[in-house]
Amino acid sequence: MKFYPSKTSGAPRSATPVRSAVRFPLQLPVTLSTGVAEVPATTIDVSSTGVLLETATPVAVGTQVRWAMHLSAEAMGAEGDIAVECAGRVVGMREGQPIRIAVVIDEYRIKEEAA
Amino acid sequence: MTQTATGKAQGSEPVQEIRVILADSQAIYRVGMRKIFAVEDDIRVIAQAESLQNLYTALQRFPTDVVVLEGKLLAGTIDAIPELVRRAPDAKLIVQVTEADEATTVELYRRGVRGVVPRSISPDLLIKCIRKIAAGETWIDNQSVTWVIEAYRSQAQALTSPRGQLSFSAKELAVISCITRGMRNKEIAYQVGTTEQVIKNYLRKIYDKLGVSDRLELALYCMHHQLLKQYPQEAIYDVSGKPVAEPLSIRL
Repeated sequence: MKFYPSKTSGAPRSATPVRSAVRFPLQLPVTLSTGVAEVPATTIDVSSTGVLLETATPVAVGTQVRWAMHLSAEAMGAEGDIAVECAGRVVGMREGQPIRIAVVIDEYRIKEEAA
Repeated sequence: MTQTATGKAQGSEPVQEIRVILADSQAIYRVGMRKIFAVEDDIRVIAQAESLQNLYTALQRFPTDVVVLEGKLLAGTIDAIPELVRRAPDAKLIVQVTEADEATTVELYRRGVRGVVPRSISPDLLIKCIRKIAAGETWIDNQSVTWVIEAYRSQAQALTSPRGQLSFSAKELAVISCITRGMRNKEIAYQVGTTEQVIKNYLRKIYDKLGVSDRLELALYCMHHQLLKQYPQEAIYDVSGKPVAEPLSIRL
């Protein structure tokens, strides 16, 4: 399956985070893979260019992360859940309870999971 | 100081020239602007064009920093701005309009124009505008800022809030369903029984109808509004596998 970068292949979708895409208030449980750790988190809102997450574990700004968002079959009218596999970078973190992390989506791939 | 062959004083910094193309159907405007820029040592008019076609040719021939474009040249050509941006991605566009209206202004900025100025702009302001835009800024007046922000706010609201009646054909719903399952255009074309180009046309129409900009935004929209939940899959295809023809309406 093909990954969709939003601009030319090989380049990050945006060098600086620009809030130009609409944000959907979707709360989805995800696991951020940083390469050295798996960080559970929950989305607060999701756009086609980035995601805002809540987590109990800080992740440093600049960290490359991968995660998958699962859109339920029932909500999507599909036979199986839809997985949106993403690769991106942490561009912001706000300490607190809980910690909030802003991640830019550099690449994504949509696929239907088996029912 | 000694003078070099190019006329610049040796040891001084060369002046960074802004290469400008004037695209205007009226010769008197082109001549007038050329005279204004002639006394500026950092602005050089490298070409003039009196039609869009001439402008395309000029952009192909000359590396350009800024295009000053008469709005009337865009009339009737919806894709002119994206086409110009595609042909000359490094050239920044300034559009001169006779009368500013909200819809046109918002659409011009949305499509990639860096400045929208009146035809009656003063010479000094036009020079300032060109310099600012060449430096990477966007030239936008207070009224236009309000229009653009309002358009952005309305779009965001439209995408995340419940909407009125939307109408989709069965084929459009089939395409949406395939996209949100991660299928590529070629696969969808095969599934729906058409060509890849037709699928791209459907996609464009779907994006415009919903106000989304790409596949991921479409999937998120469908998730947030549970768009496809309204239709069981068997309603989209008949038993022989052919899509159902009549349009279907949903209320979100």
